[in-house]
Amino acid sequence: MQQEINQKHIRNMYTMFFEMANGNFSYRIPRTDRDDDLEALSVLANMLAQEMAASILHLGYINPKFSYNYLLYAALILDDNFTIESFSPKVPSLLGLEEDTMYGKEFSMILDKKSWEAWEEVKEKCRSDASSEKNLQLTFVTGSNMLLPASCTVSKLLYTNKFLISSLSPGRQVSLAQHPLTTLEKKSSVAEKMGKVYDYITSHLDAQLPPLRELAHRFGTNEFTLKRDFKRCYGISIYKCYHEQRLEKALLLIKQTDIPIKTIAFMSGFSTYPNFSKAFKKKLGYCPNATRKNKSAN
Amino acid sequence: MNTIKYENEFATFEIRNDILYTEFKDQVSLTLVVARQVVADQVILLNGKSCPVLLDMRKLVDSEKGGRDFLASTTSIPADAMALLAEGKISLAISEFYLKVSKPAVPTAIFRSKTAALHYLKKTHNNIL
Repeated sequence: MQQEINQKHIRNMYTMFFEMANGNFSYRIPRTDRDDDLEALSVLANMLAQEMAASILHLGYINPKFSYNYLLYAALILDDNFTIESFSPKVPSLLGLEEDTMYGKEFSMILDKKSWEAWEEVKEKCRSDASSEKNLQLTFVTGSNMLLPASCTVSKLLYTNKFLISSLSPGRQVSLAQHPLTTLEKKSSVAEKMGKVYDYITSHLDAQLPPLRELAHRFGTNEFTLKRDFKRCYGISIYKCYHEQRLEKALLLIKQTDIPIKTIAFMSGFSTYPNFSKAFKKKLGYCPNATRKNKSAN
Repeated sequence: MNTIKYENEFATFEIRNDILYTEFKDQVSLTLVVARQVVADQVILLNGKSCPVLLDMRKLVDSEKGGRDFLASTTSIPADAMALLAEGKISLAISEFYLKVSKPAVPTAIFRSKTAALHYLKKTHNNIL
């Protein structure tokens, strides 16, 4: 029995690695409640797939020959009993299921058990409120028993009692991007360095950002290269990144604590309260005080 | 010595001897929702101050990138140093991945024993001060 479970687990891992080798980072190995080496490897493989998906779909540095945009990759039409009535052509291959086995099947039957509760809740809401559109995370079970998590939107279609389940995924745009391809080694060392700069910024939000020249020297590069590489890696300038992270920290503190807002401004690296208030309003559209008042009212 | 205790859906919290003990509940997966709630409650309990945090990962069963990244980037608000307590293969794998890949913004280390974890926290905290 134990051996059989192990073999199944290993088969799932093979499937996962082949899918990843083919560029599919969406699959996840189904988990068991065991706590052994094989289970730990499954956890690692799943976490690796999440990280790789994020890195490879990252606009700045990994794949400079392509850019990405959001494409509709799956759409299913359900009847008023939430039975699958139709689907876009790619759905069967994404789920690893045969077309004829999907047609007429209850939608919940292609979902993982853990998604059932969320699905039940959303489907009732959509049925009762025709104008509502719900976003939720659903996990599908593929034909090879892998898990496929996907962000889905459920909408009731107008003039009919049918429902649309759609899911978006980043897809590759065919047009060539502007940056020439550099060598893999160079890219990875640049990315590593920029990762360190990012970590430095996020761990020093309570202080003023040092001049870029000084920051560049600290990380063994020059100001021009630092600015260029950081923007390539993170899609925003160093100052903007620092600025946004500071505001996020401030927002968290305003919402979750009773610390005076002036103190939060200083804790978030702003030299004066008016500077902070202005930046906060510009970014979020309302004053820090309004956030605090809203919190108190709630 | 005053002890403050609190719990939410995902974790229990206790401030004792200037250390914030945070223990994930059984069968919890570190998702973005969980990480947000845990950090938010830590911030509330400490009222914006920071202190050494012992994060007990032993009952965690899984994690998602969003949760790991959020925890790693915001953990410097409630924590000035963090010790991750892990035991089984799963919690050790998640902890090691978090430490090496998500790169938390404060000094962090993994321990199997609570005593060693507390020793590390005290030492690191004193070095920071």
